[in-house]
Amino acid sequence: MKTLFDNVRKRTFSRRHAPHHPDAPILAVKDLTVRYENGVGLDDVSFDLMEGERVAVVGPNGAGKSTLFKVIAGVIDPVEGAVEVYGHEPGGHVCISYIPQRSQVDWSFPVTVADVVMMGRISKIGPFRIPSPDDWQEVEEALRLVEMADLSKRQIGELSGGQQQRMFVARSVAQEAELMLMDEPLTGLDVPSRENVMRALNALSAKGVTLMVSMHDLQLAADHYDRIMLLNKSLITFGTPEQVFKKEYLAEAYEGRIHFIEGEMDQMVVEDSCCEGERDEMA
Amino acid sequence: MKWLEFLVEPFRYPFMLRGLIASVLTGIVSATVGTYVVLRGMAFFGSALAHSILPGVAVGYLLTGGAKGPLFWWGTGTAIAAAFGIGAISKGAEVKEDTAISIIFSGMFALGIAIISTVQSYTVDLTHFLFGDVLGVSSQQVWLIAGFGILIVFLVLAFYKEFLVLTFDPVLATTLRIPKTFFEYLQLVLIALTIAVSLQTVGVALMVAMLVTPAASAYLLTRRLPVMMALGAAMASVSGLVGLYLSYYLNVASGPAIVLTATAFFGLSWGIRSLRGRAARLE
Repeated sequence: MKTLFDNVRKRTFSRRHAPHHPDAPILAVKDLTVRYENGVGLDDVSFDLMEGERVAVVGPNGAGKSTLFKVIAGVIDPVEGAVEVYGHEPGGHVCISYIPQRSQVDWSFPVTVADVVMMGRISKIGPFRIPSPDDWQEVEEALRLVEMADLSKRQIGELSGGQQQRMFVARSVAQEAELMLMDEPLTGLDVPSRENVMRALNALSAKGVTLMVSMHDLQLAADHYDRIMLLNKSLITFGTPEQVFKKEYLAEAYEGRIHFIEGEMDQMVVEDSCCEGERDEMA
Repeated sequence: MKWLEFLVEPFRYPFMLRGLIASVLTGIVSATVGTYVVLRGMAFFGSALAHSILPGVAVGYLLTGGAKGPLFWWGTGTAIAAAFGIGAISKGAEVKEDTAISIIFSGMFALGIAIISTVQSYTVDLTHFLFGDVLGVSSQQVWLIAGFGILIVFLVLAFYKEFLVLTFDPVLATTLRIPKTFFEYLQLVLIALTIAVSLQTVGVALMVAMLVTPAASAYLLTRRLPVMMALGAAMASVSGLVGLYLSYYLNVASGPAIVLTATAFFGLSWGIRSLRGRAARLE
């Protein structure tokens, strides 16, 4: 029943937007290279993502995690390489949602939670039209999915960090996004808020949305994600947590910033607990 | 009945009535457009743009021998050209954006004054260009202000969703494939038209006050965008009315009187906000 519903939804969806090739990976990144004025942003990154996957992107500060997301979202152009969504160029797709780091949002902006979630629907509503009752219904359901229905009238500055992230998850739901890129949603959150955000992400994942989430906590990545992408300008490795979290890969990604404690558990300590988010790579 | 007389008395003169209509209309228009100017941090751009139209107005003034009617069109043309010029300069300049804008606008402003100064006894007309001459508005100009005012407000409302997303989250605008460049330039054109419309009321030197002050006052009092627009428009039009009374009874120049009233509203809003903040802390 669910797949039938999904098929119908996808067919109606693709008529209005760029064509989706059914067998193609939801995301194919080929030989992606990005250069900034002060150095390399990304170096020859290639990978495929299949529909419904949950991927954690990890790597040290300045590893190009935000850059990778921005290229996929179409915000910055690569020097070389290509991004394909369902076998087509990303132009015309509105099924990608990109959620920037919290620090990049003006939280004093005069909008409510429901207003922000509604923003996800504006290309569906189309120009010269106001949101219909159905659109508001979608917004309400999206907020219910992330357990924030009671906060819909709040000004966004009144939200806690975790609520802010969940509001953006709800916006992706309202947008009917199929691929969601989330840049460090857990950074700076306390444990209960983290759990709420993770629960919201799980709800999204249960709807079949493909998730790509960058984070610093390797344990969290290993516990909750199917595949781990280890990035430091170039793609070090990409696979299951067991395949990725090996000494040689981590040493390569984190260079001098990792220490191995020899013991029965073979523990590792990564000295990269970031709180500020990545350095502004757009500068 | 004395008060009623006091209030009605100035508007027995047709030129006062025309001035009232013009200043209320420009107040509404500039506060509406000014909402985005405030939220996007474009106050400096607005000020620069206003000063940059002076040479165009000056050339029109020379060619038409001081006729006021065609000056509106000269102002409009120059404002739009300057908006595109400044927009392009701020994107591709080799120096910092505010430096580039300052060089251009002060140069243009000086050029305007230089052109006007070639005319004998230029000071009176120059004063009108700089500080406005709302009491000298002709009925033809009132119609122009009304026509363009309706057009501007209509466009702001018609593209409300698009401007909102573009201002709050430009990255979302990109991922939703909203034609960003088009809307960015449309916004510049709307600011340019607003400046042309306000030329007669407050003049180029005080223009930025009409764009920024009422919208900023409203920003202090509300956290909802539509309310901010409406409240800003209300304060701007009341400023127009009160300013004209001040001008009539205290024999003060009309443009500065309107701007000072708007400034007083800002002070009042600030006071209300800090009282509210104190009350909230006491609870």
